[in-house]
Amino acid sequence: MATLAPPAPTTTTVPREARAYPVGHEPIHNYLREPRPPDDVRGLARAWAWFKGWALSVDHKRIGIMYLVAVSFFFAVGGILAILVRTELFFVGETIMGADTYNRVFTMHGLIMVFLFIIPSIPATMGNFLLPIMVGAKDVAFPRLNLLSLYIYIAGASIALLSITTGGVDTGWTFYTPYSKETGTAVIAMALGAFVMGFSSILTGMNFIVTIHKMRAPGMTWNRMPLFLWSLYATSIVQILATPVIGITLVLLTMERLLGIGIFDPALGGDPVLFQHFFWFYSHPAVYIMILPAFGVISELMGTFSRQRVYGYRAVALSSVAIALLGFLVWGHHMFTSGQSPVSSVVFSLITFLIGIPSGIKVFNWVWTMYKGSVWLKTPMLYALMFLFLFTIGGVTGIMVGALAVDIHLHDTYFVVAHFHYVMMGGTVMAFLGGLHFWWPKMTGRLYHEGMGKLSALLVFIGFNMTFFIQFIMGSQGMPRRYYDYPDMPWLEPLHQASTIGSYVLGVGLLVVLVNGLWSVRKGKLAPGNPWGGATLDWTHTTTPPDHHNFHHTPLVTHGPYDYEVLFGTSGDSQQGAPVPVVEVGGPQEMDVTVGDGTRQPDSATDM
Amino acid sequence: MATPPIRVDDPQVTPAHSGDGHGHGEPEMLVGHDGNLHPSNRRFYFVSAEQQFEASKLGMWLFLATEILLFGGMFVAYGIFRVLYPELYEAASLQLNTALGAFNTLVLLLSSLTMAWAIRAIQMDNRKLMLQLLSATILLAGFFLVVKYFEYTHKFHEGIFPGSSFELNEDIDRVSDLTGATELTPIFVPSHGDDHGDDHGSETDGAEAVGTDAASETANGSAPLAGGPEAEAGEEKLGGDKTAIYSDRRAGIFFSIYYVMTGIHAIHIIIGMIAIGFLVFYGAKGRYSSVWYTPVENVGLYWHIVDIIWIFVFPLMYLI
Amino acid sequence: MMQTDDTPVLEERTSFFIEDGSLWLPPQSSTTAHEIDGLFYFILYTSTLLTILVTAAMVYFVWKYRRKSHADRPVDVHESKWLELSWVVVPTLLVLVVFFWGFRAYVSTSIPPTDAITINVEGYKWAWNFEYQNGVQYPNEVYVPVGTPIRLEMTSQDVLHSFYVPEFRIKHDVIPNRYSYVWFEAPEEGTYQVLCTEYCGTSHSNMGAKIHVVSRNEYYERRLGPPDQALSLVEWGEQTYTRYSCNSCHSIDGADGVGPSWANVWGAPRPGSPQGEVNEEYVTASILYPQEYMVPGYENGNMPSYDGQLNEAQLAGVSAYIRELSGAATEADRTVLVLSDGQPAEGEAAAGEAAAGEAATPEGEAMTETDE
Repeated sequence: MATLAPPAPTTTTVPREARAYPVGHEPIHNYLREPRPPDDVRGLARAWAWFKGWALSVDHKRIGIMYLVAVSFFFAVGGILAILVRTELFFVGETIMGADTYNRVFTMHGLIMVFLFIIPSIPATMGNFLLPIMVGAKDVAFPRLNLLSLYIYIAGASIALLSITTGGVDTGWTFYTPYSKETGTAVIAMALGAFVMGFSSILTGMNFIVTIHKMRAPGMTWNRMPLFLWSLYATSIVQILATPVIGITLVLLTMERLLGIGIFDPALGGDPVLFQHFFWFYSHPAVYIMILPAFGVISELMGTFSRQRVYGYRAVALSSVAIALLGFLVWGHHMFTSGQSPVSSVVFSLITFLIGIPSGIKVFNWVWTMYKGSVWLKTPMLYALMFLFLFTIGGVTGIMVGALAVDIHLHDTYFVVAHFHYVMMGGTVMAFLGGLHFWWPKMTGRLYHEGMGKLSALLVFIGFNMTFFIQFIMGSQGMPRRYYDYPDMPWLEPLHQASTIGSYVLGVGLLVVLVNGLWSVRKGKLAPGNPWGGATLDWTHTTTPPDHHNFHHTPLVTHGPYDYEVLFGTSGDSQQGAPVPVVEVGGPQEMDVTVGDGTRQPDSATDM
Repeated sequence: MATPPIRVDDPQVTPAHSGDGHGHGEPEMLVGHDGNLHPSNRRFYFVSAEQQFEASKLGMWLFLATEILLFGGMFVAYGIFRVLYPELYEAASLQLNTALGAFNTLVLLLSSLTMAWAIRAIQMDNRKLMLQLLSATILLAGFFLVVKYFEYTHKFHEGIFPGSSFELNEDIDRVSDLTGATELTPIFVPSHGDDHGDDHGSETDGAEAVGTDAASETANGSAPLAGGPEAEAGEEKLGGDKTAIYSDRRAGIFFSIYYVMTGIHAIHIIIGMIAIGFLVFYGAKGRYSSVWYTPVENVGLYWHIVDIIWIFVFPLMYLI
Repeated sequence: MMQTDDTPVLEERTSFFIEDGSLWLPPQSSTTAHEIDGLFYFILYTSTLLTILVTAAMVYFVWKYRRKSHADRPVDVHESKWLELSWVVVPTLLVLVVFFWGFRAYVSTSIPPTDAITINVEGYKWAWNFEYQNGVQYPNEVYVPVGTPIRLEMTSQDVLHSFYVPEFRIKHDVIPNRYSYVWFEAPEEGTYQVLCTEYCGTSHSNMGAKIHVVSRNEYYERRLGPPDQALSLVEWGEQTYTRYSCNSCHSIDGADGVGPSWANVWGAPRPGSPQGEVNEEYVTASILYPQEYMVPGYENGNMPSYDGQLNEAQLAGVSAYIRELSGAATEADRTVLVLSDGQPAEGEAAAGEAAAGEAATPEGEAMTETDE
């Protein structure tokens, strides 16, 4: 991978006025263009060389972008399936599909959203892209394993999608035995797909842990790590320790179907509840694989857009790790009514409450970060605030379903469905969208359209609450989940209809996000080096978009991730009243950030 | 928590070995992106060779953690069913050939020794010895698999298949004599031909077996129904023969776990053999030396963990 | 026989508002429901308050500290140990309260009183079968006495199901090869909906049943078995078709379902089956031992065995009903049977053998309990 050093950086010698591109956007350096096919390769050969340059690239940034494309595709597929599910429930009785089709559709929705979208969503896209830059490394520790993880993911996803052609799967994403043993659908293909994707998850986790442990730049102490890295670190622990268990569970399930080994089959003396224990031993920690990276993104957003140090940095950082570890001890709260022993139910309930506390601490700290800050209400911040609101609701309803007696009533109803959508979609997806808008200029070099961004945030907020808040009501009234029809509760029809309409609004909102992204890649304004005034290495020490090797020189870190006063000065110093300077990057930076001349406004500042 | 300052670059690393894909023979010096010369087996994104070595090793340890969790799942399954059907496990494990298992244990331990020795050899720059020891490791692993093959085929001949196909039909007396548990006698009654004609599939059969294994339910925390109305009805319906058959099937679970566990372990052995094969291949080309032997070290770690897992499998399956 | 005729008819619910005008929990219809509801509302109100506080703080900060100019500089905010400590300690205390409350309610709602009446419940795809201690069975509905603790012993014939009655706040998974139980005591008469909440396949959402809470007298009558009915065999079959949820898999209009449709199948060839075609013997075997032969294209093994659940009249009735649907019903099929004591009278030609189903036979032990 070693390449010849580029000519000495030119930014210091070219006069500012002569530049056609904003500072930090000089085309030669950025990873999107470099490495590229030699100029004398033309036509189809050039396209092929260009394709190979991406598909075989071990550059963590290109891998992150490829993941982003794949993950977004599956998000769209899962979303369309969700719309179909909601549409079917519009009327009592059959609306657009039969019961068997419906069961396959909601199963595929769950599987695609969980395994193909949410689990890799933030770590594999933004994590891959940003983690090495944020620690001040030139790549992750094992770049080739990183590329391998992408292809394993694609292979697993292909196997999973192929199972649709052989009849789909109708077990629900939980694969509960003995139903998953008896059903005539393509469980083996789907289990195999999920099994394969597990390796991808493990490789990503391994890469992150090793990179964080061994490849931090000089001066990047643990206490100077951005909170996003802390959360990715915690996530990786969970990925590594939990994923093998779902692996063996799915292998045993496959064996159960192929050979009838009987471990989970009551007809052979096996224990279906054991399957649930195995499954949730992975799948509950997996919930933290999904939400912890979102915590990290929100920390970055709250800090940057409040221009204020994230309140209680240590508490927020350590609570991520605490959640990751405690997360292994609460799987039984999915099984209060399943026939596990009452004693374990009590213990699991208690630990469940304990794990709620670190999450609560985070929320309070984030809110307090805005205190005496300078809150800039751009789209990413809007998404972050939406996250705070929705995640709080998701959290407190988690307390409800964690309470033993109440869960007896609420278990497996729409209340639970609404609860985890508030946490997963209101939490992770909002953070994903917020982070995407936040780092969009870093990734593409272009600014998204602020108006469209705010419109999408509004539509998503309205649509989301309309879809899922109503489901809390339906659930507490007793509407069970995974129901194709509700003949015994026809009075719920208006609520179902409102929820369905909400899902359409939500769909339109997400469509606006997509349009905004596609539009901005071609037509968006060129982004300045540090459009939001961030203080982490990705904003201060590398170009936008980043250089092929991230940094010309290994950065020397001299301040914390949210020490905005180091960059901008505090309110008490002489610079007060002057516009916050754009942080210029691009020149040799052995020591510290180079602060610009103090006259340049961020391009995006005009449409504040 | 403060980290000592990391050297920005380490020009001290001597390039006393050949390249790793960029070329062979003469140590290749490349100009890195940072403008410094560095040995070609250090990748540009590492600051120093030491950092690279430590990173690979940590990565390997993390991978081994996933291996332990993977087998951990199976050990848990083993443990739970052992608690559910203790006598059955004891009886069933008598079907395994302890002598062969012990022999295999020795073979694996020996292979671990040769592996560790091989690492020592390359640390001493004794490439020839390393190659010999690695080859010996592969041979021992192959030997292990051959013994395993004979164990498997022998069991297949006896009719010991996993789960639903399980139909052991010999040694009835031996088993009951050894355990002294008379109620175990029907465990190994063949499951074919004595059903009362209406054989409507295993699913429904299983449901009817309800109530015959109240003991197992207590262990699971669900309500046992000893003497419950339906239990009595169930027993009437079933009769003695059926009880026997379901015990029989549960014995199949022991062998299911045995096959899955040893099977997955065998797959790990095969993967290890392939990995050591690569070491031999590249080692013969002279890629490794005392300066850089990270792959040898990492494969060695992997091999030890595979060995250690067997150390646990052997007593659990064969001895107790 | 049509139980709904003489059960107290509740007002049909039409609005998604609960009777008391609230939106959340359904009416409390068991003696333990209030314990769960108390905790539910406690958490609901506390967490609503918390959410409002967080949101209000958020909105206030966003407005109060909004960025007025790009020249805004960060202000040094010192972390307050007391503030941080307070939002660790207060939530911890709150969740501990919730935990202990939930724990207490869980214990008191899950341990049945010793004097509870036990009824066996069996779940199968996709219906519930209830069986009294005297052996009398009711498919998809059960009659229980008002003001008496009832303990349900539940097991499943095939896959996992979950027994859920929202009004009673009870739910437990129903597991094959294992017994689980729930208990309840309904203080008022009425009919309550049972739902299956563990996904179990095609007709999961139609796997409902009814619990009729009735007076003691009516309960004693009901547990003697369904009253004698003067029905023809075709009517017996039609009734069985709906009561035993045959309709969730088999259509009568030729539409494809989980199982083959019953329309026009009488006499259809069934190569490979012991009977060779659809005849009386074939139908009976299919009901009692469905796994023995499965129609090509429907080898999903979803059909449960109804061995021991149907009496002779019902079995013969299904055949007659299929004949009727194929236009092959005989005069005898349409003749009303004279039943004596739940059995077709001796010599009744169409009913086949004289012995009637044991299931419908009330047992003497039960008789003694009635007042009549």
